[in-house]
Amino acid sequence: MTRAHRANDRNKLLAWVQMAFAAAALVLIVVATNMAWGDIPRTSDGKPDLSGYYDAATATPLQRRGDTATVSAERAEFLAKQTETGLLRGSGQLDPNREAPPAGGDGSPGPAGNVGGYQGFWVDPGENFTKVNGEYRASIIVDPPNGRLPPNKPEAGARMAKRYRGYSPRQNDGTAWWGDESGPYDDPEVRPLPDRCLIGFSSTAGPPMLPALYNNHKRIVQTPDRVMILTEMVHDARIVRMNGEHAPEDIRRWIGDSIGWWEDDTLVVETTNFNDTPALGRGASRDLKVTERFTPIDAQSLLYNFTVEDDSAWEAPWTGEYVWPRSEEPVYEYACHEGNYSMGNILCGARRLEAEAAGEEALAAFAKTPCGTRVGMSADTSSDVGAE
Amino acid sequence: MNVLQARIQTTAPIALAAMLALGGVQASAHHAFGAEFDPNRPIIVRGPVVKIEWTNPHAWFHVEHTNEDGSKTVWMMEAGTPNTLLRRGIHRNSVPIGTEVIIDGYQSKDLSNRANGRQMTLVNGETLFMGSSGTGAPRDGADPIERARSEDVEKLEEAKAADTAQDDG
Repeated sequence: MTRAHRANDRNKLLAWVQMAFAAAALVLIVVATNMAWGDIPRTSDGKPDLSGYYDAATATPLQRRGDTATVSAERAEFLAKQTETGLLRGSGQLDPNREAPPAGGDGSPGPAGNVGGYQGFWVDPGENFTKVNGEYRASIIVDPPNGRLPPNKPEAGARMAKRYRGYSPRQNDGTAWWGDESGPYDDPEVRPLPDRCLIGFSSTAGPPMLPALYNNHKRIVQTPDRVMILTEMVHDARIVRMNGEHAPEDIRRWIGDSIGWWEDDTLVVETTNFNDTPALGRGASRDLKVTERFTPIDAQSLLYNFTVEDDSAWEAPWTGEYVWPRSEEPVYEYACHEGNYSMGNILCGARRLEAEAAGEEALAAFAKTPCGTRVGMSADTSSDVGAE
Repeated sequence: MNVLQARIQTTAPIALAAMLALGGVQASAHHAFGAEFDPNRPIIVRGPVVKIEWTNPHAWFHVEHTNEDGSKTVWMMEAGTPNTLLRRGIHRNSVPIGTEVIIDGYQSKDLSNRANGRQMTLVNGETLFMGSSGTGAPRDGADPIERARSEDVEKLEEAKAADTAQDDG
């Protein structure tokens, strides 16, 4: 190889190195630009703009079951896949000539024994564990550090016993087991709040807002003076008054009275003035105070953190957090009263069982009541009820 | 009784076993299965869909069932929330009026012609999207994927169900 050839090769190498540097610089510019694009959206006054839709479904349970605060990525992905498979079961094949299911089911233990009515296709509990700071969390609760609710105070137990009396499946034995005493089906007002379409179940609108079996979508609309947080189920809308004062103590609401303020890029919402049955349940009382913190993580998600205080319900305050990813899906209407046949079915069912227990005469009388003469549908066979 | 193709009288021991099994954990739903439907009155109806009520909290499918004596009875079968169904690509026109279906479930305690819809099958065996108020509903093991689900998921769901056991709002 001649000296000229070697010089030529050096020049070529130099050219390649220069090109490589140029390419690397270009990549850096693109990455930097993307980081700028990926920054959190802000309103004109410089505050983070939380407005938009979120899907708060997550596979992470409220309370930890195992010993560790996190689950490995492999395990989280495996469980997510399993859940997804389970949810797709509604799209399979089933014998069209099958008989009716057995009375009482097969008695299998576990959740499917309780929720056998649900084909998985229908529910939307979330397949993924919530991922905070790169770790998959084994529980929403982060304080106490064991990921479990603190012990209830004794008076909370009494409250729960009263409140959940009508909710036990153990008592669904096809009889009027409550006898002649006042029972959990006496009138609409003794039924749980979701039965009455007053608020959703699982504290879905909270506060604190916890993941439920389905309908986990939220919508936030933010202005400088008010922040509205809409929960899809039962269409619960919370209005947060920014930099406001709480309502007088005698004004009590199902979802409390919320005021908010900004701490740097975190929206803090403080809620008090609950009535005697906050959506949170679990022994919570009218003394409940919930402090929520909404902190944008990036353009696609926020961290929802909350602290619960209720001296008459728990031995100590407790804190939880999970990520709310933004969603492309809008929140749909949820006109709960519109199709709530269930309340009528529940009350009429109780009247029939009471009549059955009272004897032939009572049963004959029942048959003449509005409950007793129901057959299930009107003569109208049009299908124009409800929205597409 | 005439429209029920298979109503099985439950013996006390079976009912007790089922109740004990169901007792430990209760998942939350819009309303309790146990409050509305009778686990001892399983039914299956076959026939054309004559009406669909696309409403929250539950959609309702009206199905005209032909009884053994040739008479017809329309049953209202409770389905899932339309919002979730819509997100899964199902809307009220997905099942045209007149479509022949098979739906199994458990009858309402008041013995009106209403039941929770557990599973809807087209005549070719393809399942669709039934599934209604599930809390406390019995499981019968008919679903092959349900049977195949891993113990891990069962445990996870149990944990979640226990968490929400008292979530009645």
